[in-house]
Amino acid sequence: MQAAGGAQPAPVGITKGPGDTIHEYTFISRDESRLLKNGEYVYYELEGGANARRVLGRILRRDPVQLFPDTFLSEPAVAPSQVAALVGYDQRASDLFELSVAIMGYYDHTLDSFVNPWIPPSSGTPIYLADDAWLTEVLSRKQPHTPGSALIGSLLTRPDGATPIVLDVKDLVSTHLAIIASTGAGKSYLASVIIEELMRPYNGAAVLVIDPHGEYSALLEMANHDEFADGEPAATRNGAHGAARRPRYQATTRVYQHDQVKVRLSTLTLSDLRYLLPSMTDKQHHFLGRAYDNLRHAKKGQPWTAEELKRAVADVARSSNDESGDDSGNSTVAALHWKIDERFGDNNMVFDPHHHLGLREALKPGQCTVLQLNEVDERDQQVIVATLLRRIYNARVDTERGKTHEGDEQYLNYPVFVLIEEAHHFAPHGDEVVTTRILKQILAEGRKFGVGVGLISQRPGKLDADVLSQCLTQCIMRIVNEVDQKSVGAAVEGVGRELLDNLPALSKGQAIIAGAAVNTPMICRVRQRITPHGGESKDAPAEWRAYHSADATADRQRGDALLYRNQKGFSIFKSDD
Amino acid sequence: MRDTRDTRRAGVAAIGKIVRSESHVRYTCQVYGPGETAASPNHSDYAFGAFVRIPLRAGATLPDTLAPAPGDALPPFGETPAASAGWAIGLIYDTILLNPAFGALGPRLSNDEQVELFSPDYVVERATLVSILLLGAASAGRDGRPLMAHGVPALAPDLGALVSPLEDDEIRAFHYYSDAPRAKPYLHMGYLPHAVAQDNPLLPMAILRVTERLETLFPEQQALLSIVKRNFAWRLKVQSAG
Repeated sequence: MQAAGGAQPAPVGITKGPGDTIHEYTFISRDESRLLKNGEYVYYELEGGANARRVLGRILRRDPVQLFPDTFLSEPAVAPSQVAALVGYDQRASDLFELSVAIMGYYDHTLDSFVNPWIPPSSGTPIYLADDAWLTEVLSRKQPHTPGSALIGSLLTRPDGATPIVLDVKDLVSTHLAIIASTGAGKSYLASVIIEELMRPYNGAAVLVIDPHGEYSALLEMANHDEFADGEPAATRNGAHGAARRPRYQATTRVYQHDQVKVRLSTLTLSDLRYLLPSMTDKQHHFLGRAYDNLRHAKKGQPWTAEELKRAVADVARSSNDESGDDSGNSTVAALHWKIDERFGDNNMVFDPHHHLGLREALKPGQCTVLQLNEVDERDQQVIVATLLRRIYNARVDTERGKTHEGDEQYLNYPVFVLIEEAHHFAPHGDEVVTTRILKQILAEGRKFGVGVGLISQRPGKLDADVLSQCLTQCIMRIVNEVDQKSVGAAVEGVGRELLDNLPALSKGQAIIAGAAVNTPMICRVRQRITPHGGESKDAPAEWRAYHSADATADRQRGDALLYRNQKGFSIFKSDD
Repeated sequence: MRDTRDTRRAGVAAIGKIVRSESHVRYTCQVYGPGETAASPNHSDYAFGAFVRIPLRAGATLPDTLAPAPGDALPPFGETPAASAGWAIGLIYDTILLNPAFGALGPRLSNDEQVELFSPDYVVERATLVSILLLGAASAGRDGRPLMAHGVPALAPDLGALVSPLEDDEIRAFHYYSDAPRAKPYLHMGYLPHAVAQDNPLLPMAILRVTERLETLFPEQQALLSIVKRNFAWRLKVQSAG
C-alpha cells in the first residue's frame, strides 16, 4: 500500500465509476472538511504493493448528490440541518458529493511527464488527497530557488506558499511565453515576478523589456534588494593560491527613455521604409526601392544618412528621366524628398544616421533592460522593435554560426529573452506590420539560436493567432471578454476547455499556468513581488482630495497672489500713478 | 413516595385497552364504555391527534385480555412501570364506532330497557375503537433521567395493555430532549418519516394536528415547526385539491 514517500493518509472518498469521457472518473465523498475544491488534486493507486503508482487527477466538477428539500429552506432563520434533526436525521454532516476527476496520469521520472494509465479506476478504489510535498515534486520540473527555476507563486487550491509553482526557465526561454489577461488582472505584475526570477543569482538572465507604457521602471529597485545579489566581493575573499574566486553577482536594471533609443537609418529594411513613409504612389515605391538598393550597394554595409537616401532617389529619377526623355520623375522626387524629410529630418527623435543602441550594451547576462517607448508614435514603436529584434536575431544567428567574432558589432554570445508588452501592437490580428514577420521568425526558429520571446497582451483577440499559438508556455489571467476567451481557447492547445471555463472567475493575481515550462496546467496564486509595483492605476479621488488640503490651498493662494500682482504690474489698464 | 406519585397521576385514568394490532406500530384500543370504569374517560383524551402512552411488554402476557389491568393508577411518566420495559408513546389517528346491532333489523323479544332490567350481566356490545400509531418509546435511563426514542420501538405493547392520555408536560418531555447526557436539548419529531410512510389518509392530518399542538406547547420553536406545518399543509390542502 505504500507509495513514494510518507505513510498512507486516510482516503477522502471512494471511486464510483467512469466519468463522462474515457479520461474521467467519478468518486463520492462527504468532504466534511471541505477540502475537495474544484481544481484540487487527488490520486488513486494503480497497483498495490511496492510498485504502487499514484495516478494524479484534477477535480473538474463537484455535484451534490444529497440536498435538503426546498421546503426545509423556507425559513431563513432556521437552518435546514435543524429541520433534519427535528425529523430524526441528527447526523453531523448531511453533504454528499459526486466529484468528477480528469485523469492526468502517473508521473514518470524518466520521461519527466505524466503518463495516462488508459483505464479508469474500478468502483470502490479509495481516493486520496495529494499532499503538498508530492504535488510540488510532480507539478513543477524544478525546485524553487535552484538554477533554471522561476518561482512564480503557489497552487491556488492550497494555502499560500504550501505548493510552489516553478517554471522551467530553459523551456520558458526556448519555447516562448505568453501572458494574457484583461486590464487590471495583474499581467504586468506577473511579468515583473517572472523578470525578478530571471534576474535572481541562480538565473542571471539577459532580459530586454519592451515597455510602451513605462510600467517597468520599478525594476530599478532590484539593485537595493539582497535577493538579486550573490557571493562576496572579491576583495574580502582570499582564495588560497589563487583559487577561483566566486564573482559577486548583482542584477542591474537599465532603463532607456524614448529619446535614448535610437534606430540607425541603415538598419531599416525597404519594407520598414515603406511602412514609415505611408501613402506612396506606385512610382514613389519604385523609385524608393531602386534608390534603397543602389544606396546599400554603394555603402557596402556602412551607415548612410537621410540626405544620402534623398540623393539616391534623385539619382534614380535622373536616370529615369534620361530613359524616358522627359522630366516626369521630378515631381515624384519632390514628393519623396518631402516625405523623407518629414519622417527622418532633424526633428525626429528616433532615427539617427550613425548611432543606435549597442546590442552588448543593452543586453548582458544579469542585466534587465527596459525600453520605455511611451511618447513614441505607434509606427515608430513598431519600427524600433522590429529593427531591434532583427538585429538581436541576426546577431545570435551569426554568432552561433561563427560568422561574427568578439569585437564585431553583431557579436552576441549569450541567449537573450525579450518581453514585449502590448504585443497586439506588434503582431495584430488580420494585419501585417513591420514587426509581424521578425516575431514569427523568432517564434519559429528562436529556440535554435537562443532568442526567447515573452508576449504580454490584454487583447488576445487582437493578437495574431499564429503568434499566440507559438508561445508554448501560457499564463492566462482573468479574461471577461468572450471574444478574447475564444481566441485564447483556440490558440492555446495545452489547456483544457474545463480549465479555461474558470477564466472569468479568476481574481486579481491568479493565473492559469500551462504549457512547456510546467508538467501540467494548473491555477496559480502569483507570489508577492520583491520590487514595488509600478503599473497601478492613478488614485484620482486621493489626488483631488490632496488638491483641497490646507497646504496645497495655501500654496495655490500664494501663487495666485504673485500672478495677480504681476498681471497688475503689466496691465495696460494700469493707471500711471 | 408512592403516594405523591399516585396523587399526581390521580386525574389521569386509562382511556381503554389494546384489543388488536394491525402491525408492530398500529394498534386498536377499545375505549372504556359507560360503567366499565369508575370514571368514564374524557372525550378529549381520545380525540383525533391526541397523544397516548401504553406500557411495553416485559413479562408474560396477561392471560385474559379483557380482565381489568392491575389498578387504574399508572406509574408516573419517565419511570418504568412495574414488570415493563417502558412506555410506548402513540398517536390517535382514527376512531371507529362499533355497533353489532347495526343492520340487525329483525324482531327482538325484548327491547333495550328490558335487557338492562332483566339481564344485568349483558355486555354492552357497542364500543368505541381508536386507532393508535406508535411514535416512539420512553423509558427510565440509568440515572433516572427519562430516555426518549422516536421511531419504531423495539418492543410491542401487550394485548390488554392500558392506554392512557399524555399530559402537556409529558408531551413536552417526549419532544424536547438532548441526544446525549451533556448535549443541548432540541425539538424532535423523529416519528415523522415512518408516520408519513404508513398507508393511511388520516395520518398526515393527524400529524398536522400534532404540529399545531406543538406550536402551542413550544411557542419559541414556531419558526422551525412552521416549516413542517407548511410542508404538510401544502401537500394536504393545496396539492391534493389542485
